[in-house]
Amino acid sequence: MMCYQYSINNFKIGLQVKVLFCTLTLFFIACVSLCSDDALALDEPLLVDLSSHRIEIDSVFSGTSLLLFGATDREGEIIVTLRGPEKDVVVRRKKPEMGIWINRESVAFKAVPQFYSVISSKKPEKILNRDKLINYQIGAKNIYMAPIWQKTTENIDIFIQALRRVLIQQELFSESLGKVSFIDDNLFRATIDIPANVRTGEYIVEVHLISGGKVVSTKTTSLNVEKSGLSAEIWTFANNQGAYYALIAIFSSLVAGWLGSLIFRKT
Amino acid sequence: MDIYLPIAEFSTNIFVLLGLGLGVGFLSGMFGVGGGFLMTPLLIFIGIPPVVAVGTGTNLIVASSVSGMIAHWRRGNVDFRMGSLLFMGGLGGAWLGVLLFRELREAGQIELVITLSYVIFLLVVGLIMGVESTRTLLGKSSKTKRKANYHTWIHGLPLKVRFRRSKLYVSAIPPVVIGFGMGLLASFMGVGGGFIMVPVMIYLIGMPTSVVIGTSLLSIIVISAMSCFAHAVSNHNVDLILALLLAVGAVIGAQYGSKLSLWLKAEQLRGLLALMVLTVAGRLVYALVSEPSEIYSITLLGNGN
Repeated sequence: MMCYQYSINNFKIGLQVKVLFCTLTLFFIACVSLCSDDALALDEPLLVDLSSHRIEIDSVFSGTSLLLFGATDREGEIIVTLRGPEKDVVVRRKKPEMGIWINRESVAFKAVPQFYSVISSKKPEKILNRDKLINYQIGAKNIYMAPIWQKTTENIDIFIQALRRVLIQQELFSESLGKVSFIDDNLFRATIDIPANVRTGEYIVEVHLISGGKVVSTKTTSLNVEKSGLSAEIWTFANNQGAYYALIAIFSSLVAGWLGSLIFRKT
Repeated sequence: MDIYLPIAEFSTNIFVLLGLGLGVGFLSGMFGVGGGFLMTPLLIFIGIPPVVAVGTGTNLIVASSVSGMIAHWRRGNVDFRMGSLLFMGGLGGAWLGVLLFRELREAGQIELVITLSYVIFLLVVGLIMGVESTRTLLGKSSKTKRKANYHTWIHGLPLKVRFRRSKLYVSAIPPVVIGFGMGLLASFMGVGGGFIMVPVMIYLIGMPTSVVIGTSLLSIIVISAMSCFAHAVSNHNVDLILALLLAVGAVIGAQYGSKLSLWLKAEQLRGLLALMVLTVAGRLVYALVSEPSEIYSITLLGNGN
């Protein structure tokens, strides 16, 4: 238990340091921008970074938040999307059969992101038209779901809607998780909340700069979510070396039972 | 204090798990049953995925059967020849069970099958116990006495083997078949199945009561270990941390349970246990027949974890 305590403290300190660092960076950029007469003279129209590119899930992980910050050289709106690792999934529907609810029809989908959220300076629908939102896959409704196979006679649109709905219920998909706020004309920041049930893998953060109903510039950065600590090692071991893991599990159960009988034989 | 279970991928209070182990261990010590048939549904009720609850159950049984087995072994109450036939059948049953388990999991039906098997199992166990305890309470003995020359169709089967410890000369087929059934039960439900095995060995094969418990405990350990191995390799659903936490509670609870059983009226408690078993069965039936709040579910393609 000591090590868990240590790691959570360590994590908190780490986050504080990162937030402090980001704030200082922002402050520095702000100073530069205030000193110059014109708008920021950047090499690129958009610059962004995250307070951390790695999230570690340990045994006491209960969600975290990331700070995204950036600068633009022109006026516009910002839309940030965070997209999790993609996995093939099956959506099943229960039906009552002789009074019992049984999984009957199913549809499988290819490469469904296991996490998706949007953060923006204004509602995406107010900044971009529908075609553009679909084109850039902005918004949980606009993520393209490609079927692999279907075991149903019904229209699969119902299954696509259900897939999105369930992912939203599980807090893995969210329409809008907060707001991008401008510190001045050129600097912006946003807090991204990561829920406790987040899946591990490579996440892609896309930041779009929109001006005049068009995406002017897009910047992409990545985020890695990993399991860490004892639980991660156990999980990896169990999934990669099942046979050795099984032997250890059986052996430790035998020892636990034997120890129990030793302890209680004396009393 | 919360603990994250690495395989169940579920976070829960450590004292809930210790308490659960203690409670089920207490009951199993009191009634001389394994307790797996209560543990798995209770784990499902607190939110552990059914697939992991079953896999972990196979590991837990190993821990909770060891101390009893050692005690019987010391007294020389284990028939190893009978045991080895049970293992042989058990190996086949466990292997086939885990294979079917995997198929059903991929077809998205495993949770239904686990729940249905439990409903049937608990209803049978609960009704038998309930009937037996009411009979005893009413002053009627339910036990039929075994005659000296006890013969059934079982004794006409070929491949006869002599079992010295059990003082028996019977066919090798019934123990292998019983072991096979135990293997299926262990891999599908995460239970040892001593509850069924003991009466079957006594009434069907005619094994002496003194040898039957030690022998069945040994075969339960071996068969559960086999299913645990097969589950861990093919389904990755054995949570070592969960099993050990429950085992700590179960081992302690069983000691006090068996002590208390000497002081309390067995029939009344048996009736109470029957009531508990039927309640758990009722809760599972309710889960099957009530309309779910969300009829759609999502699982990863391939391994359903």
